Amino acid sequence: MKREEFLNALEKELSALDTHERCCALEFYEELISDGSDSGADEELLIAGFGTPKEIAGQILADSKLAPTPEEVKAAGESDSFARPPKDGFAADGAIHAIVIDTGNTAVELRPVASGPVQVHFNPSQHDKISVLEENGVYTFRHRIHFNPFTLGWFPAFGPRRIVVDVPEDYSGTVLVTDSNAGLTATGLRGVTEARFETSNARVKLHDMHIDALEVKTSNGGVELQDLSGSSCLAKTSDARISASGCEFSKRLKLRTSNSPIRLWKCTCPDMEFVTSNASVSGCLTGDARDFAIKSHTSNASNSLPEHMAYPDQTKSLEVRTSNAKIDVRFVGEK
Amino acid sequence: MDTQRKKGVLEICVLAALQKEPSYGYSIVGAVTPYLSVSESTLYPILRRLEASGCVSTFTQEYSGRLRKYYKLEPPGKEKIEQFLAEAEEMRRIYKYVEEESVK
Repeated sequence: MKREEFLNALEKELSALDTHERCCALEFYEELISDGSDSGADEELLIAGFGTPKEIAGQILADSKLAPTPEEVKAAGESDSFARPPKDGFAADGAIHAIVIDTGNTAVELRPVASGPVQVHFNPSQHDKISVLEENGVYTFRHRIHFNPFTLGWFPAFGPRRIVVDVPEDYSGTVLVTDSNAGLTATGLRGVTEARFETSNARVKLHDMHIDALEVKTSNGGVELQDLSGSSCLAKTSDARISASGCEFSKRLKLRTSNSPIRLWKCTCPDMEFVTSNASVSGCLTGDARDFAIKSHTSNASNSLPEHMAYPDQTKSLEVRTSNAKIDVRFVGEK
Repeated sequence: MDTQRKKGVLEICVLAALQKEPSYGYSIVGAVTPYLSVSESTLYPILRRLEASGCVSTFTQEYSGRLRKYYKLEPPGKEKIEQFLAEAEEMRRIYKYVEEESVK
């Protein structure tokens, strides 16, 4: 194979690479051929010794996937940013029955809108990597803050920004929000069948919603549940308080934290469990204490509830556990 | 030689070839081939990887009317060589052990 023929064939095989990378590789081989023939080697023999253009390209392509150069990393971050350009935010086209928000280090707020599509409002900077996918009624919004250590000044990306999600008031379906190090808030949704809110090191605030099956998980940040209804609610955090007021669940209500108090106000549910440590559990529950089989325990402090009282005809149950702090939970009449 | 091991050793040989002075592709192939059969198809990815990890830097110089790309050894590359040499004693002991056991 002659020089030109070889280089043309190699160029074709390397078409998957970007122009800069392809040129670098071609220059390398062209230089080898020039230096080889300058020192007296036979050009065609030399080229034959390289292997076929396909083999060479295979090596280069395999390697370029393994170890991208800093320039490539940067280029990828810039070009892949948008699966879909933001027109008026990232709106869903069709009917949606599942909303998935997956982010990190950015607060998320779900808010009700009278009508219109499920839509994310977010103004991305060059450091945000976003992908929006809508498939079989599942709307997925993924976001990561992509910062390149070679680029100075990435830190403004961590400013107080939030992802705001418009959800139609009559939305009926599931909601799944995953985040880290940033707060989650949601309000006003009345037809959610299943919802999971998960973050860390930040608080979760849920107000005025009907969610059939609700799960909340965070850490080092409070959980605030207000005027919620549904069938079951499980909320878990650590080292931060949980407050629940006006919550009505038909199956179970379980709240768990540590080293921080649990505050209750007019909550009702046939199966309740409140667990913390080194902090009090206090407040009032709606209902008749005589309907509940009660188990409670604390240490080194007062307890307004019986430690163990159950009769066979009691169908409802309440369990409260803490330590080194008082339990002060009372029942008040139906609201 | 096993391809994975060859890849690692080849990197060190290429770095070693640049210890005295910066060098260019054809010359590096010439310096390394007596010890390891390096096909030109593997040299390019190796140089590229070494460049990406900062072990070598590059510059171009004119040579008989055309440009030639030179590769220069950088401190992280030197460190790699030193690391390789530091392991040599250990490797020797392992070889010796394997040899002795095979003789028995």
